[in-house]
Amino acid sequence: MSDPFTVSIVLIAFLAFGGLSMGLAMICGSSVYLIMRGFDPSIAAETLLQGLFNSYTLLAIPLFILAADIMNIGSLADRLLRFSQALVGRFKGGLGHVNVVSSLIFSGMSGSAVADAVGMGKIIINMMTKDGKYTKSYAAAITAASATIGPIIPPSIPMVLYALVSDQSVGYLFAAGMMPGLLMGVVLITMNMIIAHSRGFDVDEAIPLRDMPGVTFRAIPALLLPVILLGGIYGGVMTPTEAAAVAAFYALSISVVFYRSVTAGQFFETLLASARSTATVGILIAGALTFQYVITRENVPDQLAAFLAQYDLGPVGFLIAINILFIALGCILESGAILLIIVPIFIPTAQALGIDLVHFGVVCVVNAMLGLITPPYGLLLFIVSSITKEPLGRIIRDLMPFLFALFVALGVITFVPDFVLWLPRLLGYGG
Amino acid sequence: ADTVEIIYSDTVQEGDRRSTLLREHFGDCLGEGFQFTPYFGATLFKQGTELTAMQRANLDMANLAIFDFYNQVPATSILGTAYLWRDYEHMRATFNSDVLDGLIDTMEEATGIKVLAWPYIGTRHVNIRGERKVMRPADLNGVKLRMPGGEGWQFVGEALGANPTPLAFTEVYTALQTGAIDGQDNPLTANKQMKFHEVTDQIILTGHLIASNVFSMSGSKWDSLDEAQQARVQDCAISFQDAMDADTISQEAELVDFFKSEGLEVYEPDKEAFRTHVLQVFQSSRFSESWPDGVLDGINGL
Amino acid sequence: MQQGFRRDNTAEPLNRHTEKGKGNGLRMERLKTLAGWGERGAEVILGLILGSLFVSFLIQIVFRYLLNLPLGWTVEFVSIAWLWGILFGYAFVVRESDVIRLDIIYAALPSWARRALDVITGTICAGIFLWTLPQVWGYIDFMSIEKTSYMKIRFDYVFAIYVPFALSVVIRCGMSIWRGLTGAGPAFETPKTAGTHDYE
Ligand code: NA
Ligand code: NA
Repeated sequence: MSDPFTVSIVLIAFLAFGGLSMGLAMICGSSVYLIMRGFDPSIAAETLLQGLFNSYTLLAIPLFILAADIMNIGSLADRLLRFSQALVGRFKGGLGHVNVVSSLIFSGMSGSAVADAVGMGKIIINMMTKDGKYTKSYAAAITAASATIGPIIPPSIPMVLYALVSDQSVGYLFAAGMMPGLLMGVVLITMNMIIAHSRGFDVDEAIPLRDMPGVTFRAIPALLLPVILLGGIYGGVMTPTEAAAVAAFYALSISVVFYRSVTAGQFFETLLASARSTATVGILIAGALTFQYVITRENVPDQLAAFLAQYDLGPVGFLIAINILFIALGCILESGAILLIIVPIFIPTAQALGIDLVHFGVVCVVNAMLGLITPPYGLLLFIVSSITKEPLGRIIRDLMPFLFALFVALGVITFVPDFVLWLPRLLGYGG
Repeated sequence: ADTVEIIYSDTVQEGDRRSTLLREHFGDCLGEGFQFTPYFGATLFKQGTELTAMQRANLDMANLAIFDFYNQVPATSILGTAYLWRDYEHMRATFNSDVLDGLIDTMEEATGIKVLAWPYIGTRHVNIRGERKVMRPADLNGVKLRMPGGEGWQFVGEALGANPTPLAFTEVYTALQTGAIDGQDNPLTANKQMKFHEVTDQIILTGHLIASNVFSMSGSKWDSLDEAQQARVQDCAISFQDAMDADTISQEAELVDFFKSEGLEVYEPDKEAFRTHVLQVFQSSRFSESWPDGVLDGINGL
Repeated sequence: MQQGFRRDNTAEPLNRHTEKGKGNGLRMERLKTLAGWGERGAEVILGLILGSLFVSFLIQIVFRYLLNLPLGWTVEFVSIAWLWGILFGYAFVVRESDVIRLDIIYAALPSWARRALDVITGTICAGIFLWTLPQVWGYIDFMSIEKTSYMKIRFDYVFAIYVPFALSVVIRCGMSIWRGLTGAGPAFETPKTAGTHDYE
């Protein structure tokens, strides 16, 4: 590695930690690298422009963002919550279960953990804390923990980002997330059950059985969305990117026609908000694209592979190391930055070690999502804290058991590739 | 003299056969005085952006596709025409003759690129699901055929008589499996690599495109070399071309038997019917407007 | 709900920027109104860009799957809309408080240190964008020799949006430097908002 490379890394770190936008910091660092090596500095702009223009798969991102935003302004979230409550609300710690189950269902429609926490999270936290049955911090903790499932179960924006850097099929990546997502739901419900018994939570008021048909009926259009989405992708009707457009269109249609809850003005504001989110994440992607050129030119993945070869890690050792590294990075970095900047460096090594790249993608995305709830920098923590106005410290204390449960799930996901790859193989994946 | 560093960008993966052949027959062939630095998997420059990168002297060499030149040299579209050649020998004979000299000169002058060789990468055939027997273009009527994105490619699909549809290469397998598309077209080597035989039923040996890359160097790099160096680069380019030709041909011969053993119907259609129809469609399209005079006749005369 | 959440965190950035000018009376008010219109106009354009991307996708799906007539231009149009949406949106619509930052250290620093950092990072960033702009312009201009494959739009037009983007980055860095020097407060509060993290 050359001096210009070192300078560029140091500059990016300085600018990023110094409060500059991450995307801009990477564009600046890459430009300085080009200048110092005597290359044409316009290569940074070239890779940015060509990279964004030529990455058709990434177009799923604004569409999934739009779909989630529409679902959050319509009353879809309410209907789903009622339905989950009717389903699992009668057990001890019932609303905790409702929280996890509604996250599972919602994650079948939205590609983002944040959309999940904000849309569903706000309502369920209110439900849980309304009559003092659960502490605010407990409600906040389980909401944040269950929101991490959002991008594991398809659809998923982080999986699209991984597909971009690894050149794997979005369809198989989506399929590979299904079982791990369900497993994460199971471990969270188990932990909630254990805590409910040990802390002696009261049984929540259940929805009477006679109301079940009505509640279910009103939830059906919303429940159909995951079916349409996944059926569309795996039934061969469309590509994942197109499915994202259909999801947004469907969410809009049922919100307008069936639930009558979205006006034209609201829709436009939603469109605008989604566009703003798109531009924000787009600059991060743009920065990562320019920096990718530097990484490639410096042969960083090769050098890393050579470095790791000294330690003779083998696939298992490598995966353990990756998990430790990503969890550590997750405490201070954005999930987008991990997936776009750090993961690509390790992909060639993973491939050389014979690790399946779809499996590796799921491991990376689960790690990145856990990073959203590991302190100090955990976006989901900030969100639930701002919803509940609870101090972070208290939320983190209540979060610990759930984090532990999710780490157990991560262990299974990492070391039992067959569990992750079972569904994609069933759908024809050859890996 | 100083060592000449050559930065090369390719779209194929590092582990691909072509990458190995390139290192051995071009990189190693250059020998002392050169440092050949290849980047594979389109990691340095995205597919389709190598030409402009070379023109701006940000890249030294690449294995371009002929349609990368269409925008700047419309006349080159003739080389991407389906059924331009009868078979591999016809293609190689054309490049070895002087029929294309004028066209290649135009190409080099207009783009400032030095063309070194035309390595053969395979013949594209139609690969579909289902039982329908395809002997002539009319039999492909209504078949949703995935073709690479871009107008030129889509037109090839149309000329074959199918309904062309663009789709990302990585999504083709799933789309075939689920029936979102009925077929795709690729050389046999790519079919095996992407395991398309698992999700399709027949390979119709249409042989519609006898594809070669345009192995080339940026003009500024070429001019910076002395005569001996230029000769060395040119010789090694031809040695790479020979190696690619031989490897592709032997692979294709093996693969027909492989696909048959996998239970696929592999057969030759009425190629003359396809060739006549497709060439006629091309000649009456705006794609032929820019074709240089006499080249088609020259090729047919070989 | 997300809307509500967003609104909580979106104190009008303009008010923040122009607080110092409160005493300047009418002229300032007019400027504010103008800037407000400009801002709203940019927002509407951005909304239309995403809206047209969405609609083109629906058209593409209808044509490809229902009518069995695949279109080429839609694929190209959505790619342009995506590129322009990002660069235009970042240049004119995204607020300083929405930007993705690693503010774990920055947020913990005392005000004077943040101001110093604003000046330094702003100067470096603006300097690099200005320094490279001529070559970048050269590249964009050079791309006039290539056209998109369906709509035949020259690539210098497709890529032209980079120039206003780069200039906007320079201007925004300049504003951040100014605020750091004059002590008009940090350029942005560091609220942990959800609004712009929909992708995570
Ligand atoms: Na999801
Ligand atoms: Na974290």
